[in-house]
Amino acid sequence: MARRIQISEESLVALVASGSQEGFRILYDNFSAALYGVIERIVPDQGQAEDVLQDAFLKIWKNFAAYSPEKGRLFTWMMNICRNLAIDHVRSRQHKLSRNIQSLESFVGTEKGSVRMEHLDFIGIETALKKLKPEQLYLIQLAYFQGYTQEEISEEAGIPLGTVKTRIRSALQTLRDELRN
Amino acid sequence: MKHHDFIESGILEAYATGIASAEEQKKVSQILAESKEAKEELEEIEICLERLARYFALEPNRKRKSEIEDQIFMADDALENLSRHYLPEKGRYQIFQWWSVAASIAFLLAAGFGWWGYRNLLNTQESLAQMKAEYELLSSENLKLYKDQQKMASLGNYLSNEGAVQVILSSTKKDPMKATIFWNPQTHEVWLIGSNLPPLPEGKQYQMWGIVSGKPVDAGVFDASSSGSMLVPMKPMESPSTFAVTIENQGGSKSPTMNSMCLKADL
Repeated sequence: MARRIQISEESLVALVASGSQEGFRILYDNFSAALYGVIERIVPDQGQAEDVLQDAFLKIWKNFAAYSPEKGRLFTWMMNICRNLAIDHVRSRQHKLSRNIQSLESFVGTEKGSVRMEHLDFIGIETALKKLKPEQLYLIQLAYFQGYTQEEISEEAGIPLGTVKTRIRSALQTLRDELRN
Repeated sequence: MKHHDFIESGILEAYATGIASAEEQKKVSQILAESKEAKEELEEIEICLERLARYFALEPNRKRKSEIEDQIFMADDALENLSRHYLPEKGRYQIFQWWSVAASIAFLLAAGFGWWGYRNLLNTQESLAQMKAEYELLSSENLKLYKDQQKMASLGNYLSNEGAVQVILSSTKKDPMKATIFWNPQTHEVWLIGSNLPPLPEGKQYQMWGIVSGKPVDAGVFDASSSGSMLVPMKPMESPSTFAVTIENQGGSKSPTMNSMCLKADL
């Protein structure tokens, strides 16, 4: 289990921006598993998924100056880099994205695929996830974990393009409400 | 609630989940800059999504961390170690300047290639272009060069094989003259690689000296170079305490003319 150092996002950003090796270690320890979990959903082969993770961390490190807290949280930025590299990887190999869809539902309430690092938070999320309708979970999966475009989500989930955003919003609203309780 | 509709449209969720179009992303950036409400909403969405991602986290193979770490930090470390190796002891030598090494290596390569090209007289266009590209790459004072592992290796090999230290001789007069040499403490080789010394009148030449055990030892003569770059092998010098340059008659003198000394560096 990775050690996770509690450090404010602000301090971590400053540390990484300074090029510090300790900064890299904290960054990796704190985020690699969550990022890898995302990559692995798009690139199911373990070795390939780890290669993508490696490329992603190099890219994150190299382009760190491009990260701006004004545009959002650090994790979101890193997650986007990982997801884009993973999608590029899969597309360059002419896989079809849809082939790799794994149901998030199958992960809920099971140990499979999750490394339980924050136990208390996990119970909360598990409970909240169970409150989501299956189609809501599916939308979050397509958008967040699979990196589908709005058009692809519309096609895949069979909902009008114009409502893709509002449906995802309502799914996340439900989740947030549950997590708040 | 100025941005109520904006927030309710789900565009922030699209932004955070990564499905927003370029146009939408631009719009979000604009609104974020002016609306605290939108910024707070986005942060809540992001925190929720991050918790979700952590829930679905997977541990990658342990060895990946050190592999990535090596990839990021090894090149830098190698560079650091190499330069530390040549750092002055108590400031005795001028600090190693990477760009000047690159320039001198480039010069060396160019000289080598030039000689080779001359010998062969006819080269294919292709290899000429390659030579040119290589020369340009090496002569650019671009730090990226040193991080490039292949070039690092060739630079590193050259320097560690040669084991040379850079010595900059500076002016003993008012004029801002200087010369740069490499002296190798193991092989005792001395290479003059550059100077901005002015040309001398007919019949005069610069002569280099090493002071060994308090006595001046001839290191050879040389002429000024108009370009400033040169690659002149001087006579080997065992353990000089000082390098100096004087102006002597053509062909050099047996002992230095002290009042004509123009450059000096104490080791």
